[in-house]
Parts: sequence; C-alpha cells; structure tokens
Amino acid sequence: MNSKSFFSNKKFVLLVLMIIAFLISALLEQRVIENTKINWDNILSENLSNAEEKILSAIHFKSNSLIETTKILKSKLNRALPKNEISDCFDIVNNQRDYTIELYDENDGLVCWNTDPIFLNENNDILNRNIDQTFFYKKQLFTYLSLVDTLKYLRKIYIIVSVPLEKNYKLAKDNFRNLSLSDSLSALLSTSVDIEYDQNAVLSKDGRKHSFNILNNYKNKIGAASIDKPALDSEFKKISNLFSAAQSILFLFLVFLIVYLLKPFISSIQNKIVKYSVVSFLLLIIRILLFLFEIPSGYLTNDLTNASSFSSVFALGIIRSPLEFFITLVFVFVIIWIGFIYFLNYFVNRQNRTRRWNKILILFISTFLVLLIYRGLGASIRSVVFDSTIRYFKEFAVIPSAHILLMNVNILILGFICLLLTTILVLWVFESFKLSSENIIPLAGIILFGQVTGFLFDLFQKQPQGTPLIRILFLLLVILLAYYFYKTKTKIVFFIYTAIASSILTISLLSYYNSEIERESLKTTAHELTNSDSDILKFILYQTLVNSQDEDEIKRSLTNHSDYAPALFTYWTKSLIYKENIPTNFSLYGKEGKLLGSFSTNGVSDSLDKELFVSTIKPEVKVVPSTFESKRKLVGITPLRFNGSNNGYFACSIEHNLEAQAIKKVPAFLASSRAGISSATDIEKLKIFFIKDDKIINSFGTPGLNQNEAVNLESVNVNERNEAWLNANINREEHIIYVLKYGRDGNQKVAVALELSAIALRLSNFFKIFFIHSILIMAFLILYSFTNIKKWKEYFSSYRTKLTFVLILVSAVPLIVIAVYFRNLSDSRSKEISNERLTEYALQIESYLKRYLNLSSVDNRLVYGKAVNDLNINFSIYGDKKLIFSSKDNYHQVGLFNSVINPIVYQRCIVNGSEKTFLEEFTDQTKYFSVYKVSDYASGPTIIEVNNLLNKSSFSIADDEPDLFLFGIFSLVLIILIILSTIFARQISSPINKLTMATKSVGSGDLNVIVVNKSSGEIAELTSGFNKMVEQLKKSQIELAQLEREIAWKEMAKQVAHEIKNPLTPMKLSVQQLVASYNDKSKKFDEIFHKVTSTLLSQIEILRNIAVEFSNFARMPKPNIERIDLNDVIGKAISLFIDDGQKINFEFPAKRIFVNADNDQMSRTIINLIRNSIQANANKISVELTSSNSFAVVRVIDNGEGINPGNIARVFDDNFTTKTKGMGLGLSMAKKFIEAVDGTIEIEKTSPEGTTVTIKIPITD
Amino acid sequence: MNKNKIQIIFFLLLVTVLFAQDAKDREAQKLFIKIEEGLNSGSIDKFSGYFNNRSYLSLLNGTSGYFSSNQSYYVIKDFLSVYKPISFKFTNIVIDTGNPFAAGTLKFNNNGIRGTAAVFITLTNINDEWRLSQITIN
Repeated sequence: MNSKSFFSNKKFVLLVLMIIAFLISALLEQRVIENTKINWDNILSENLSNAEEKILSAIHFKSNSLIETTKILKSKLNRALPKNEISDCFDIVNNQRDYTIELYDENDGLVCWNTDPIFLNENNDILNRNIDQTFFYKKQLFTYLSLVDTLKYLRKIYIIVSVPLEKNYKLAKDNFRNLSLSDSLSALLSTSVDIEYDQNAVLSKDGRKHSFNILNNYKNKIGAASIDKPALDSEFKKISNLFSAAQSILFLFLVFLIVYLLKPFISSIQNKIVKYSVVSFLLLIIRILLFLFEIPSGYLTNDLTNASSFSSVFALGIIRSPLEFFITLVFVFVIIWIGFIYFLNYFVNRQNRTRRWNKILILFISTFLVLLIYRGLGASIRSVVFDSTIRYFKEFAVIPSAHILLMNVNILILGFICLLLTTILVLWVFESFKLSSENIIPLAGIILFGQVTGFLFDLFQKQPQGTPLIRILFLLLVILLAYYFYKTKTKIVFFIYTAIASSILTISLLSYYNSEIERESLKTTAHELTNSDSDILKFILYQTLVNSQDEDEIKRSLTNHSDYAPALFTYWTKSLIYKENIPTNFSLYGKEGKLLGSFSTNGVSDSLDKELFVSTIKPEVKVVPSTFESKRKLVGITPLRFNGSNNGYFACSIEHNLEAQAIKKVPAFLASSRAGISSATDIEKLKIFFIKDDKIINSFGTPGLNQNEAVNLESVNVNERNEAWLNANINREEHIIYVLKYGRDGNQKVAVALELSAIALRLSNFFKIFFIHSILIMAFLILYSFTNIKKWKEYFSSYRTKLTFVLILVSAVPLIVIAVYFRNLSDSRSKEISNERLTEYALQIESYLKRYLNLSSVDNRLVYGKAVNDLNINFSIYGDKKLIFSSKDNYHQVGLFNSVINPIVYQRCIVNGSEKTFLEEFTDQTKYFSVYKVSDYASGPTIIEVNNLLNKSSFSIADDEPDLFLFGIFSLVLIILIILSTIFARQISSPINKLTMATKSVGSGDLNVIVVNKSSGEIAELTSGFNKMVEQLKKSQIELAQLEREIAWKEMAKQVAHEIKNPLTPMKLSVQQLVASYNDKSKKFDEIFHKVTSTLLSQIEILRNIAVEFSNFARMPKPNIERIDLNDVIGKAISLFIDDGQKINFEFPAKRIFVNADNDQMSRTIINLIRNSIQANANKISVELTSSNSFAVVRVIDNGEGINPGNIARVFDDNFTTKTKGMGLGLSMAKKFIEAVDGTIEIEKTSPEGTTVTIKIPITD
Repeated sequence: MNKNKIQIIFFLLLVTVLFAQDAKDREAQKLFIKIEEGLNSGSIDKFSGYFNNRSYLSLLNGTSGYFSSNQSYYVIKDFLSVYKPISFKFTNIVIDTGNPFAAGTLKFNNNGIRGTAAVFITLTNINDEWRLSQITIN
C-alpha cells in the first residue's frame, strides 16, 4: 500500500490517530501531574474557594426554596383564613409533603400541622426572634432549616416551615434512605465536609481544614462549615484515574477498530474451522481486555458491580459481579451461536454415511460431553445461589431491582448456552444415525442410552449435581429440542423452545440449590445461636462504652440537657451491638446517678447497681448474676468526661443468653439486615430446641412436642464434628433438623428445625422466576424482530402478522384488564383484612379500658400498661392532639414515631367527627397500617391507635403474594396465548400465503403450480378454484400455443410457397426456353444454355437464402449478457421456493460475486436445478456459492434419490428425461446457457444419498 | 504399672495437651498477624485463604451478612479498593478463648475523605484449622 492509498483509507488513518492519542495520553498524564505539583498552592486555593462556594450555594438554594414556599403558603392561607376556620387549613398544608409545616396560635398553641411538629414544646421567644429569617434547628433525630412567619387572623398565628437537612442516624437496612447534606456535599467535593448547625459554632483552627461561616437571608450567622483540605496525593490519584478512564476508552475503541480492520482477512479464510477458531479467539481476547481494563465495572458503582450481590473467583474473577457475569455470558453465547451456525452448515452439506463404529463412538463421546455440560450447569447454578446474597425465591418483585433482574438474565443465558451446546452434540448423534421420522426406534434408543448413562454418571460422582429427576428432565429436554430442530430446521421457534426449556431447567436447579442453602441456613442459625462467646460480648460491650465517650450526640444532649433518648438511639445505630442485632439497653445518667434517658430494644431493662456510679472512674463491664443461667446479663458503665469534668454516665446492658437471641430480636423495622446464607430462610419459620443432659429445656416457634417426638430429638447422636442431620416429625409434620452439640462441658445441644414442605419446590416459587424469564424471552423476540428491519415492512403488512397481532390483542387485553383488576382487588382486600383485624384490636382495648377505668380510681397509665400485658396488644392513646400513652413510648421519645396525632386523623376524627380512620403510614421506608378509633371511655376526645408494625402477629397478606399469583399465572397464560395465537394465525393464513406464492409463480409464467390444501370450507373452495383456474389457463395456453403454431406454420407455408414460387417461375421459363432451343436446334443454343444455367443458379441461390432465413427464424432468442450479482440472483431464485414453504439452505460469502451472464437464464437454471432436487424427493437442499481461481462456483446439493448411473452421461442431452411429464429440455438448455458464458456445468457426484450439481462461471470485476 | 509410671504418663499427656493448645494459639496469633499485614497494605491475598465457607462480614459501606469464601474475597477486596488503608494495627488480640478475636483501628482514605473505622475479627476452628468467621469494619 503506498502512502497515498494509505491516507485515503479513513479506517487506517483513524487507527494511527488513535494509537497516537493513546501514546499522548500516557505522556500527558505525567505532564499534568508535574504542573499540578508546581502550582499546587494556587490549585488548592482555587479548589477550596470553589468548594466553599458550592457548599454555600447548596444551603442558599435550600434557603431560597424555603422562603419561596413559605411565601406561597402564606399567601394561600391569608386568602383562605378570612372565610374559613384554622382547622380548614389542613388541606392547604397537607399539599406540601416535602416540608414540615406547623401553625401556632399565640395563645392556644398548635392549631394546624402536616407532620410531627418540631416546635411543639418551644416558647414563642424563639419564634419571635427568628421571624422572616432562616435558621438551623435540631429536633430529636433530624436537623432542619426553618423559617418563621406570621399570619394575620383573629390573633397572631405563627407559621413555621422547615426542610430536613440531616438525618442523624443510619440504619443498616436495605430500604433505609439516608438524608445528609454534609454527606452529599462530601461525595460531591470528594473531601470531608462537616457542617455545624449552630449559630454559636466557632471556626476550626485546624490547619488541615478550611472553615467558614454560614449566613442566612439576613446575613446573620447560623452555622459554620469546614472541609478537609485535599491532599496533593489525592489530586494525583484523581488525575491518574481520569487518564486511565480516558485510556481505557481509547483502548476499547482501538480494539474494536482493529477487529473491524481484520474483518476482510477473517472473511477471506476458507477453512471454516480455522475461521471459527479465529473469530472465537478474537472474541475471547476482547472479553479479557475488557476485564483487564475493568470496563465497565471499574467505572460503575452500584448493585450490578457489587460483589456482595454475586461474585465468583472462577477464571481469575471474570465473573466477579452480576455485570461481569453477564458480559462474559454474552461473549460465550456469541461464540456458541456462531459455532451452532457453522455446525448446521457443516451437517446440511454432509452427505457421507457414518460407519457403524464411528456412530457408537460419537454416541459415547456426545453423551459424556452432554453430561459434563449438565454438571457444569449444575455447578454454575450452585455458585449462583451460594455465592450470592440474592434470595431468588424470597425477593420477588413485579419490577425487580437491576441486579436481581440481571442475575435472572444470566441464569437464563447460562441455561440457553448449555442447551444449545448439548443440542449440537445430540444433533451430531442424530446426523450420524441418520434418524428418520418413520422409524422412532433409534430415537427411543438414544433417549434410553442417555438416561442410563446419566444414571451411571451420577452414580460414580461424589457429589452429583441436582436431583435424578432434574437430570432426567435435562436429558429429555435436550433430545426433544434436538429432534425438533433436526426435523423442522426452524431456527426461531427452536430458540423460543430452547429459551423456555432453559428457564424450566435453570429454575429447577435453582430451586434445588435454594433448598440446599435453606438447609445450610439451619446450620448457620445453630452456630449463630451458640457462638456468642461471653468474651466476645464483653469485648463488644467494652468497645461500646469506650466509644461512647467520644460520641458527639451524647455530649450534645448532656450539654443541652435535652434529647437524651434520640442521642442514645443515634449512638446505638452506630455501635457494633446494633450491627450484631444484640438485644440491648442504652441509658444515660446524670452526675448524681439520676436516669436521664434510655433506649432499649424489646424490653431489655438496665439492672444497674447504684453503687456502680460511685466506684466507676473508667469503663467497666460486669456480669449480673442470676439464679437462672439463661437470664445472665452483661452490664457496663462508663463516666462521660468532657470539658474537664464528669458530665454523667453511659450504661449499656446486653442479655447474654440463647433465648434472647432466639426470640427477643431487635424489631424488624430497626434490625440491621443480614444478607447471605443466614437470610435464606425466614427465621419465623424455624423451630428451635435447647437440650441439656438429653432433655429439652426450652423451645421456640412451636407449642411443644409429643412424647415420641421429644424422645426422638433428645436421643440424637452427633458425629465427630458435634453435629447431626435428621428428618423427623414435629407436631406431626415432617421436618429437617440440624442438631449441634456445644458448650464446654459438652452436655448441651441446640436443634434447629424447618418444615420439609417449606424447602420443597413450589409452583409459586417457579412462577417467581418464570415470570421474569418469560418477559425476557418476549423482549428478546421483539429485539430480534428489530434486527430483521429489512423485512420489517413486509412482515408487518403480511396477513399472518396482522392476524397474529389481532388474536394476541383480543386475548391479551381482557387478560391484562383482569390482571390489573385482581391486583387492585387483592390490594384492597389486604387493606380490608388489616382494617378489620386492627379495628378488632382497637375495640378489645376500648372495651378493656372502659371496664377497668370505670371500676378503679388508679392512675390511667397503670391501666393502659395492664391492658398491654393482658391483651398482648401494643397501642397508643391520643387525647385530642397529643400522645397520652404508648406501649412503645421508647420509640416516640426517640422520634421514630410522632408525638402528635397524624393531622389526617385529627381532621377526620376530631374536626369532622368520624369514629374511626384507617391509614397507611411510614416510619423511614417501612410501610404499615394503623387504625385510629375515637373512644368515649374518658371525658374529652380520646383516640386509640393500633398498628401492625408493633404488633407481632402479621395479618395482612404479604405484599408479594398477590403479585406473585397474578403476574406468575398471567404471564404463563400470556405466553400460552401468544403461542396459540401464532399457531392459529399460521394455520388460518397458511392457505392464503400458499395462494399468494402460487399467484406470484403464475405471474412469472410458471403454470405447473398446484396449491395443496387439506382443509374444508371457503378456503378449500378458493384453492380448488385457483387450481382449476391454473389448470384451465395451462390448457388454454397449450391450445393457444398450438393454434399459434398452426397459424404460424400456415403463414410460413404461405410465405415459403410465395418465396419459392418467385424463383420457380423464371426457372421454369428458363428451362422451357432451353428445351425449345434444343428442339429447334437453335444456333444460339450455347448462348441460351449459359444464360439459362446462370438464371437457374441465381434462382437456386435465392432458394438457399430462403432456406437459411427459415432456419434462422427457428433459433432461440439472443441472450442479454450483462454484469450480474450472483448472490442476489440465486437468493431471489431460492426465495421463490422458501416462500412456498420449502427449506433451502443458501450459503454464500460475505463478499458479493459478479459474473457476466443473462440474468433470466441464470435464474431459470437455478430454479431448474432446485426443482429437479425437489422432484428427486430431497428434503434437504442447499445451494452453496463460493469463488475459486477466478471462477464463481455454485453447488446445488440435495439428499434426493440421485441419478441412475446409466443416465448420468445423457442428462444434458436434448429431449432426455426420466420424468413422465418432463420435456427433457431443462438441463440441456442450462448446459447451453452456461457454456454460452464460458462456464461449465457438471454432475459432481450422485448416489442414492443425493446429488451435487456444480456450475462454474468466470468472475468479472 | 507402678505409680511413678502413671505419673510420668500423665505428665507427658499434660505437656502434650498444653503444647498442642499452645501451638493452636500460636497459629491463631500468626493468622492475626497476616490479617494485620493484609489490612495494612490493602492486600487481601495475604489472608484470603483463611475465609470460612460462611464468613460474617459487616462493613462500613453497609455490606452486612454471611458470605461464601468466594464472595468474601471480592467483598473485602472491593471494600479496600474504595476505603484505601492508610494504616492498620490491632490494639487487642485475645487468643486464649474458644473463638479468638482481635480488634484494631483502620485509618483509610475514601475518595479523598479520610476516616477511621473499628475493626473486629473473630476466628473459628474448622477441622483443626483456624478460619475467619467474622470481619466487622465499623
């Protein structure tokens, strides 16, 4: 290639430019780092200034929004108030859910609010001080930016609008939504941002920090912020990351460009195995490069790339996250797919019979490989379950989160790849055995052989994958899929069936391994229950005490003498105790030992000895002894010293016993969520037994065992690992039980049991995944349609497609309507059930309170407490607006629940006089239902509140159950409908399609077409009429041709006679003249003789010319030789047969081949050859177009009956035919045409297994 | 068998048991040192071979739960690639207990934001080998 042609090739220029850019980026990085080093002071100053500006503008943005909202709200309220009561303003304030709005009457206090009021206990001074100014305000668990304004009504009304800036705690839960301005700014600026929401905050003097004041809309100081000055090495790292990202992208493009440039080279490879190997190798290289350059995982941080969702160390981590797994699978899929296509072409063209021993060898090898692939699939699905925190059957959602969806996609692709691979192997066996549809015995034999080998294969394995039933299902599916494809060769339908089979198979395996992991979770639970070593607990408690001394929230609450419980809660959420879900109590005491506040989880009390306060000068942990070993408690206390003095004490109690861990759990809405194996089984379903000296001493989750069951459990012998697995009855239901021996004296055991039915494969579980898979399969089909965009218009305008869509539409629309209806119905039913049960609870409480409050004169709170214990119901009582009592007062004090009644309830029950209200409420992101019942047991309005969050019994239908039922069943029905619609549409439209094709053929002059239709009715009449019409047309054409021929002959005879007559007359006259001259013995005889013979010769010449002209008239028309595209001509010729339902494989090179020939005659030749193949009863026809030594080579290969050896030499002769209706002109004309363009045609090979006809024509440029 | 012989055998048995216990403790101590080195340098490969097939991880980034050894490797590796260790040292190692444990402080740099986290690690004995049963970086 010379330089001119190189530079004119844009692809090569781009390649060079990209390489240069790649090199420059590497050099530039060092340069930028050097510059940064030199100018660091200026850069730092600029960065800090930018950061300060960003922080202040973030706060100003919040402030301006607050001012604007307040202004709008004030205007609305001012318009509404003259005509309405304050209580009528609830509608206005409730519309602003993003802000906390509260209205206070200067005399009567709170009059209107939209959520838990912040300033309820504040006096008017703070409000008057801040009128029209924004200011920070901290209340319980939140820090707000607030604004106070006033309204002119009968009296002065304060309106306070606040927006939360910081949530001062973080729950280790999946659904916890963090809210923190400082965290957001830290992430934005990539440095630590600390905001002090206090007008008295002092600027930091730490040289490593940049500190500045925050001013409000009146330019008054309301707080201070400080940021960590970015370090130079961090800046270097940032630059490096930026450059490596750019280099990765450049490199990726470079790889793609190189692959693109290699395309012609790959296309030119003739050997298919080499070509496939090169393509596969290139794909593997691209995948490995993507992995090494961490594209895209290195640039994404979400659940898709999170190793905790799924990760495996397989192949050095090439599937280390759901996304990497997906990318790897896509590459493998493409490689297998190309292999599948190559394989099909190879076998379609393969004519040779396999020898008997080779057949057996192929059968053995294929079966072994199929079983190995099955084992690989099983191991992969096992990894998908065990190396993942996703609980596929537990975490069902109609719209799943991205990582769950992707893992479901991965599972489907994995199954698909394995089935495709195994199908190739089974097809290999079928091809070797030359299976036929008439004889199913070889097929049955292959199935039997596969199943027996599968059984033996599992028998010789230590740990077989899946169950025997799944293995049987797998082998059966593979053989049936292969057989379907072997008979039909319909790729798209085969792929749909394979996808559905993959889904069924992978879900079965998934379910099996899920039950394994559920079994495993029994073991984990038993170990969890017994591994709370008191040393570790003491250590955790000690660490908690030590860290409390530096806890800002605790210091602040002690300094401000307020919000003790929220401070303790905030600290609890930061502690290891919370992360470990250990039942606990946190308390704060004053200097004199007075209890200031506490926070406890599920009734853990602090049993503190008062003497501890006197003696404690440092963190101290003690074990509080108890008569019952199971009631032991660890208690710790530490003085809290700051600002040079003792400010109080922090105490912490941990219940150290197995029961505490088994039942007294941290409430679900607070508990830190543990992923992985421990979450495989719902803990509520477990039954736990503690056994000491071979006697059950305690049990949880079951009312008790009968004698036989108890003896059975108590007498279990453990193995050398101190564990045992057994299946036994508990309450007459079969359970799987794990028993673990523990304790230093070795006489204690814990047994964890789970009902066997809970881990069995359930149809509902199957639908959870199948629903997602079915959506994916449909999405794939739609995408596939888009890839055939060329046929798009034709496809959508076809009668069959329209019919299919109409059928799907007609059947799916009512289905979807019914599905949505049922979804809403089940939602409302769920709410109804909750409403009924909670109302029942509220009525029980009301009845109890009426009975006991009227009888006794004791303090109401004591009666409320007694009601909680006696009825075992948690509830709250509101008097007018404020909370009077709550069985979980703890959470109200902290601020997790409101201390003022929900404004909607107030409006409905107090203002509008409703007796009861049912509401959907939230604490953090946890949804729950509440019933508020107005009661008249006391004077004045009193409201009883009961919710399903704090009452353990769950009575609403689990949220996913209706979704599961509806969407699982409906998705299955929808798939069935689509399949049925497609089949029906195909059946209905098939005769019409045949007629259309036949009409096309008739239009192009082929009158040998017959439409076969076995159905009856109008369509049958139509096809029969069409066939008759074509028959008639053919007859008429023959008659017409005959008539034309007769006329032509007559005309020609006339012309010939006329033409012949013309020379005959002079010839006759000449001969007469010659005879007369001879008789007269004329002297001029010689002269006359010469003249006459001359005339005769000239007239004979005329007669010869007439004969030549006549001969020319009967010749074939002159061919129209032009440059034609062979790919196109052959493709169009084949399409005529394909449209007619005939399956013909056409293999052609990517590069188009051009020859000089007559387009029509070439097309006629191909059609002729294919028709010959069909007439030779071939069911496998393929046309192969290749180029070799400047010749285009067309091979028409069939598996028909072949040519009789005696006839081979004569097939190209004129008028030679073995067909009853043939003329014997097709091949002879083809030969003439091909030879006319300097080509050759020959029978390359023929046998009873098939024939190959080869045409060679010189290629033109 | 005379009394002296019984005493000698008893003594030897006692020494063997104590020595075995001591060897076991030393193994635990060695493992903690490897973990310390690994966390200090951000190189998980130094102790990844000791993950139990069910290790409990609770990390600063919110990850919490039981993970397989495969997952534990990448969960910790990814964590350390984001929370890049500046320094780490155990402040407390307890090995003479059923489940040896150690605690220390990890100083890290998270995308320019420096911070500290308390690290708490426990071991468990599986088939006479110490395995990591819990890593808490809080």
